[in-house]
Amino acid sequence: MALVKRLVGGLLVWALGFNAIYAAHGLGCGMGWGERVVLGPLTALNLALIPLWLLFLAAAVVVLRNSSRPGDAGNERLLRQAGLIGGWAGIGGIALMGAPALLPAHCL
Amino acid sequence: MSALKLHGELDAIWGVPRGWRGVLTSVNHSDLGIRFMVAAGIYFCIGGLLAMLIRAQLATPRSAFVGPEIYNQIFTMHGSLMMFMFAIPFFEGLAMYMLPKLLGSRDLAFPRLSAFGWWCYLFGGFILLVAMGLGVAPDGGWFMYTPLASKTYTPGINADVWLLGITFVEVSAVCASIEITVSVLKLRAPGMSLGKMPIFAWYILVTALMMVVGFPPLILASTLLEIERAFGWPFFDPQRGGNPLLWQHLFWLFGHPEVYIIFLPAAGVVSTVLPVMVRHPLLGYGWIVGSILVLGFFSFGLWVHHMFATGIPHLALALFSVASALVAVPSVVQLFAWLATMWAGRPQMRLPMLYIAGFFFTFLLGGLTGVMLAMVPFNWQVHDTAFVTAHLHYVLVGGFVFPMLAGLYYWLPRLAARRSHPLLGQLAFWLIFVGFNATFLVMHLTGLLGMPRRVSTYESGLGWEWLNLFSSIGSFVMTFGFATVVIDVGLAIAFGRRSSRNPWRASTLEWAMPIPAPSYNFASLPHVESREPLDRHHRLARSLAQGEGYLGRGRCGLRETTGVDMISGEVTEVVILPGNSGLPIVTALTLGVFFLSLLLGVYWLAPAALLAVTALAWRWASALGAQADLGALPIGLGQAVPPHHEAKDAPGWWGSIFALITDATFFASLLFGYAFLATVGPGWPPPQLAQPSLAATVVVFLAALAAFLAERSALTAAQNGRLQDATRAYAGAFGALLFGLLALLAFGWLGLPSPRDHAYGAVTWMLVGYGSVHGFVALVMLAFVMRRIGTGHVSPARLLEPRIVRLWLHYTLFAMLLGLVAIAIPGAASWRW
Repeated sequence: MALVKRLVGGLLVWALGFNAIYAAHGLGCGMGWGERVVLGPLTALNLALIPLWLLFLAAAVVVLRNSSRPGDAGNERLLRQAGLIGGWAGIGGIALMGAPALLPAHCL
Repeated sequence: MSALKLHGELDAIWGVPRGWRGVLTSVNHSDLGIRFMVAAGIYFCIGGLLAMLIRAQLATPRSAFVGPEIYNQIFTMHGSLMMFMFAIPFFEGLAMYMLPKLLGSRDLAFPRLSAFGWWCYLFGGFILLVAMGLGVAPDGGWFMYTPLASKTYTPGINADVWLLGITFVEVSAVCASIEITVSVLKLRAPGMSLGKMPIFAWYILVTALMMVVGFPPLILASTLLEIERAFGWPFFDPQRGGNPLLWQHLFWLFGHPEVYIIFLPAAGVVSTVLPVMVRHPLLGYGWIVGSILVLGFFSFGLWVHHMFATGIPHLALALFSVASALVAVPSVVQLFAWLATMWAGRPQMRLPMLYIAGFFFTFLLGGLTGVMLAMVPFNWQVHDTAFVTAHLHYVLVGGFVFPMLAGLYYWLPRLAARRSHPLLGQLAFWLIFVGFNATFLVMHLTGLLGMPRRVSTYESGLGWEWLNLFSSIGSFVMTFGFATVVIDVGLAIAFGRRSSRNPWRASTLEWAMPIPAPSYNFASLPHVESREPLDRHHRLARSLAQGEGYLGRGRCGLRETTGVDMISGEVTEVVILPGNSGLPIVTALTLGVFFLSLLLGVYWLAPAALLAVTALAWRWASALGAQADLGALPIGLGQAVPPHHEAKDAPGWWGSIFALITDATFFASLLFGYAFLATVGPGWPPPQLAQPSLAATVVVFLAALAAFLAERSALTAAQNGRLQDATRAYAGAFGALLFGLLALLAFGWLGLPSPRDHAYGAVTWMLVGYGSVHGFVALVMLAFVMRRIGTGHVSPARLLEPRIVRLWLHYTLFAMLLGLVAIAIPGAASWRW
């Protein structure tokens, strides 16, 4: 588990976030949240997806911070480097792929 | 001991019997790897011939060369053979052959599993080929979309041939994925930490891990569709609560990662061959490792881009469009690392490098059109046109065939101890390169002009005539190129000059052994201190041959190799591997009976075949282990470590972990299908919800708890050497689980609606079936471990088997209970006692 956490922690957060956002979107569209305007231009689906997106973005940042702490990644330069690349990819992936949560019309 | 005597001693242990007996019982990774590659090459030739028929048909408008029915079978078989019978098995074969040699090991972690996978691949392929010969080949396209592949529109056995034949072959792929993953992680030369692994091993490791979670969705999809076709359970029938889009989701959950599963090993070949050809170590090793990990993950977030035209919601379009564009980034990181290595080195345009140059040109174009297709508006314009056909061939031929040909020529001296004729090889390259681009470059334009894929003919006057004729001529040129490769390699093997041991002056371990490779690979195993061991230690090959490394002599006729700590590469155990065996072929044949009984509709035979497979699996596991504690064994160079069945993290333990991950992915895919149907399926909520007996549910929960506690007590007793108490506790766990299994079946019979009326009933029965099958397997495993205690195979030092049984039992209980919870959610309020 330590190896998995070090190498692909950020990517695992991305995978969880991606699945959570996609599942919440499917559930929300299925239950009609996309048509219920709740706050200004925001629908109930926006209000479900945006916090979810920000939550996973924050989690990815935490994972990256942990993997870049000295000593945390052990004595293997490679594991540390690959972990950092994965961490940054996790943040970038969630930031970009989750950004459509801001769109006004989800379920058309 | 002299090198010659050591060779004789080790060959007696690791060798393969001569003649047919050896063919049928060999578990040697070199034999099996070569068999996979040769068979995959033959399938490539068959798929290529089918492609020629496609191009002959499309060369002119209104062609009457073959009718639509035969044409449908031809293009379906072309795609299916190339994807399932050529690309994946070819790289599996290459990995099986090459990995132990690159990693400084004597074989793979589970040699009998490799052999079993080989026979499954061979027999599954026979099903497809025989069906093609009889004119009942699959005809619904290589992705078998429903409802076209459903019983209504494909009433014959064509679709069943695909579903069952391909699933049989996928058993082979799953076996290979677990085999390769554990071998890379555990069976390396001492000292080879993750950071010192050859880059090819990283690529293959990530690919194998992708296969571990990539194949189960397709196996589930094939299972569901076959059940629908055979028994009328309506998973994909919209009139009874099913949804054809569920097939597309499950298929592409496999299908898109599949592209990267094919590409990554080929990129691994490039990363291995290119530095040798430019005489400079690979630059950006860490960046490449990071980027292939990113690629492995991101490739699972793209599958819906194959479904952009199905009317999915805008958010999903945006999400998957962004993901599809983003995946180009890690691919390009590798490209820059290769360019930088070439820039820093002195490129020599020898034959492997020529193919790598062809890869750069072709794959780059395929990648660019891939980014174009990731953009939704463009995708809608060219959806299902020849543009997509051109794109996928640029990706797959560019990203797989060119690098693999580079690898073939690079490793030909390693494989056959011969060298090919450079001029013939160059001629082949140019024929393939020119022919390929003539075929597919213009096909982009054909697609942009609106020609759909998979049409058997077209009218004249649409502007497609000359483009199609040009493509057809190009394809025949390309075929001449591939034929030249076959002739060139054949001539090299038969008459080529004998190669020296390391003709390219490479620095990886596969060149540190005699050619052709002996059955045991290395007479003794090296201590690895860098990524390029031959650069550091020029006399390494001779030193190893003289037995100066680890395990430099035979011990009691045992097949020994070193097992290491996954991260540091420190040696932790001696892995004792099983010898040649007829069990793999017998088990594969028995499994073949299962698949054939389903294909031919002899359903009563299917459970009998599965019971026979279970009995064989029992026999299979019984052949391993020891009946006495051996303690630390000397392995040379002043070190001593225990055998694997006395070690904590033995390969079998990790094999079980990855097998369970595969299994859990199958289950997760089933739950995804359930959730998908429940949210977007037509006709939901279902007319009748489950009304199971709460009493049966409570009994299942209590029985699961009792089995859990009893097993816990059993393992504690075994750890303390109280083996009789352990046996009694295992018997308790067996009884509790049996009770729970019966209660689960009662839960289904008493409360679930018919699986034929609505997809809800079908899915909930699948959940009960999944739990029941696992319950049965866990019962067999508990019985097995009780037997093993009786035969003296378990002691406080030898707890590998009880620990593996614990793993499976815990998963089984989890799956049974989660299945019940999933069934309970929609209608829990209406349940009765």
